Formats: sequence, C-alpha cells, structure tokens
Amino acid sequence: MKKFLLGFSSFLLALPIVLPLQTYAISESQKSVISRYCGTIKQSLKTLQRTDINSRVKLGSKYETALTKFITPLNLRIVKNNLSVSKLAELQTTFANYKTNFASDFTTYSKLLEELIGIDCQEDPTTFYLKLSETREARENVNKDVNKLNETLHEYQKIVTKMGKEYEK
Amino acid sequence: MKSKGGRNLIILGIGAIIIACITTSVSLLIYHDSGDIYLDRSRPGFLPEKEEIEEEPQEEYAFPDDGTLNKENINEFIENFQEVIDSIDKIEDPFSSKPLSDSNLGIPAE
Repeated sequence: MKKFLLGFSSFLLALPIVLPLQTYAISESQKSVISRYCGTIKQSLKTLQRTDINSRVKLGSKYETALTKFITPLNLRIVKNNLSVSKLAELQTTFANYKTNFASDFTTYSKLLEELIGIDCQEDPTTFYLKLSETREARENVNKDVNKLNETLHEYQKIVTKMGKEYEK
Repeated sequence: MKSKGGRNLIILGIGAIIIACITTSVSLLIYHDSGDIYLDRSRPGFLPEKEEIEEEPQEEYAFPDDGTLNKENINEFIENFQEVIDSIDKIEDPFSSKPLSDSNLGIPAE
C-alpha cells in the first residue's frame, strides 16, 4: 500500500512537468525563424499592444455608458412605475458581471503580452513560444468576454423593443 | 554640521526622502497590479495619434430614471441605445485570435 501511494504521488508530481512540454512543443524550424526574425515579431507585438489598449479603452467606455446611462436607469424607472423587471434586471446583473470579467481578463492578457515582449526571442525562442501560447489563451478569454457582453446588449435591446411594441397597442 | 539644529534638519530631509520613496513605490505597485497601467494611454509610445482622437459629444445622452413610461420615451431609449450598440459593433472582431497566430507573426507551422 505504501509503495502504491509513493508511486502514485510521484506520478502526480511528474504530471505538471510532462504535460506542458507535450502541449507546447516547438520544432527546430520554428525556433530558427523566431530567433532570426525576433525584432520583426516583437515590433508586431508592440503594435498589437497599442491597438489592444485602444480597443479596450473604447469598448470599456461604451460598456460603461450602456450600463450606467441606459440599462440601470431604465430598470430603475420600470421599478418606479410598478412594472415587472425580472428578465431585464437579470440581464443587468449578467452584463455587470461580464464587464468585471472583461476588465480582469484584459489585465491578465496585458500582463502576459508585456512579459512576452520582454523575452529575448533571439536567445530563447522556446520560452518565447511557450509564453506566446499562454498569451493566445488569455486573448481568447478576452474575446469570449466581449462576445458575451455584446450578446447581452443585443438581448436587452430585443426585450426593450418588444416592450415598446406593447405600448403601441 | 556641528549644531543640533543642523543635524536634525539633515535627519528630517533624509526621512522625508525615504518616506517619499516608500509611498511612490507602493503607488507604482498598486498602479501595476490593479491593471490600470494597461489602460494608461499617457505612457510614452501609447499616446493616441491625431486620427485616433475622436471628438466626444458635448453632452452625452443619459436615459432619465424618473418619470412615467410610455411609447415616446421607450422609443427614445431604443433609438439612443441602438447608437451605443452600433458604435460597439463597428469595432471589428476585437481581440480575435488572428494577430497572435503563427501565420500572422511569420512563424511556420510545425
């Protein structure tokens, strides 16, 4: 029993070392290209960093406007008029949560991108590529957050439009 | 300095510098860890270009949270809310996977 436990715990400890290498294996040709064109790759990443900040600030400001100047006041007004607001209130909470996730995921992604740009890809293309894979995943999370936020806004708009048609009857 | 007053002045000066260094370090740590540094467009190299600067409208519309609800004010909401949604949808595929893909960075496939 002791031997089994020892063997199993050794296997569990070895997993974190083995798995990442299998997931992010890099070929010699990739290493060579990354090393040779390190400067150009880094310049693309710096341009992307700048574009991303621009997008983040624009989107963040629009989402903030949507929440504070539209969704919240409309929901409040509906409540003050003694009308049912359950679905709209649910969407407001969902939107606020997605907005928080967006801010947090963007910070994680930006940190990784900055660390990626800081790696000397000419000397260490393997570490660079590993970090690039991590950064890609983080960017995908931000993209998912944006899609969820936009879907929620469209859903909110649909429900309010339907409500507006009720008033036209 | 031989006088007590002069020595105290030096201690005060050094103490003030140390406190300033500590508070500045703490501020920078918070600035970095909170993620605000990644939103700061006043950093060198991140200043917006002339063409990137959009003129913000003088008064931004806000739906009032008081008053009755009728066809007119709901339509007013829908119209203005649609403008916000349209401005968000105009931003093409934000944070897509393409910019960091191997092909875009010139890295060959395995």
